[in-house]
Amino acid sequence: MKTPLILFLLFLSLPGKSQSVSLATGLGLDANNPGKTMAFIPVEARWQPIADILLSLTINYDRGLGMTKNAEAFTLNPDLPGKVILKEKSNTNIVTIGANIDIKLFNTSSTDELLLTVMPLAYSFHDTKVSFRDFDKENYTILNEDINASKSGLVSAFGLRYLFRKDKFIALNIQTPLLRNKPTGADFKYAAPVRLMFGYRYNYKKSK
Amino acid sequence: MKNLTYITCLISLVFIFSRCQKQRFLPDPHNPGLSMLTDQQTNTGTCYINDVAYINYWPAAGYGIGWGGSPYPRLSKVTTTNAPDSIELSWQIGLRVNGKFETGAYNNIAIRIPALQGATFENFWGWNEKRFSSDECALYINYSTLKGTANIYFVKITTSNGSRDYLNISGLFDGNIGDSILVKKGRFDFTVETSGL
Repeated sequence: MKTPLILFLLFLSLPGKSQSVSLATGLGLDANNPGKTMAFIPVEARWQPIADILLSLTINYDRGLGMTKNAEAFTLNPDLPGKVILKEKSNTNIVTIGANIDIKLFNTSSTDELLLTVMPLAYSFHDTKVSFRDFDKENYTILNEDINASKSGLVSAFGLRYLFRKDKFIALNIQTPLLRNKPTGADFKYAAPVRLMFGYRYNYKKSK
Repeated sequence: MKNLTYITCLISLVFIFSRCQKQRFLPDPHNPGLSMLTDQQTNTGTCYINDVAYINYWPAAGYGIGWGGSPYPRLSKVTTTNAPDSIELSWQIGLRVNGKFETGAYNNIAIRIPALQGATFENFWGWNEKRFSSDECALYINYSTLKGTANIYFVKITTSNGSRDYLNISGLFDGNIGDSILVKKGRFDFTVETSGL
């Protein structure tokens, strides 16, 4: 988790035609697990090294807000109820690193523009923690138990970004789930965050 | 004519592979060597027998459900004169070593549950979410050479793709044969043919 951040800061300090950094945050929802509301607070940091090339290094951190659902557990012990309903709490945090390509769609004024942002390939880390309230694991067995998992893999993302006065923006993007096999035993699928974000772009080295 | 034979073979292969069922082992983090309790048609049944983890036999290439004679889990009716019938759920077992099946000290499990005389599909279908105690059920290991008692809980019974010819059954079981053989933490998630009922 720390390595990508260090790399990002190192890139920022490099001399050259570095142009701008942008930061954004907002609200994210998982589009890949319908019926199970998993929300995120996304934070996006972007570094655009060359003004004329709309290519930027991007790091997304999606802080999970936790999800609660019911789980069923069963026992053979005749002295206990055969079936109980447990409260399951799970939380997923996601870090994604990749290169974004911005494609200018049109200008709405001299300072405002709409961009299509595409991240054809990125690397993403998903970390999921699961816990069950009042689970008697000696006697009961959970059906389709979700388990703690740390998985990583390739993803893609795309979205729209509307720039106001060249420095403020609103962005909507969607990222694919991890492009790999379903998590072992998990009842839910890998998250696909849809993010609505507001941000600011800081031009720290003006191009001549 | 040659083309027709080729096309027929191709269609048959596609049909066979589309019905080919694989086994999925989903490790239980609380019980090493066992697969989790699932209702996802994993075709996996595991348990501890005298603290050694056993798994049902399933070839790596998978089975086309419906092929007679294959050692996939099976449901059958056991009829006895002047006594209620029983329904037996049985499967071959062995050890899972480095993801591969190997023979162990025990090679078969059968759990026999008493049913009504003239037991039918409907009897078994009614056992969804039903728990049977060791007062009722018999446990057989190694093709009836060892007999004891069993508990079994049919956690979920559903039809497979809407057809009554196959059922998806998930559940828990345990049992013992005297003090010498203890079967613990058993769980299964099988697709079974119902023609034996």
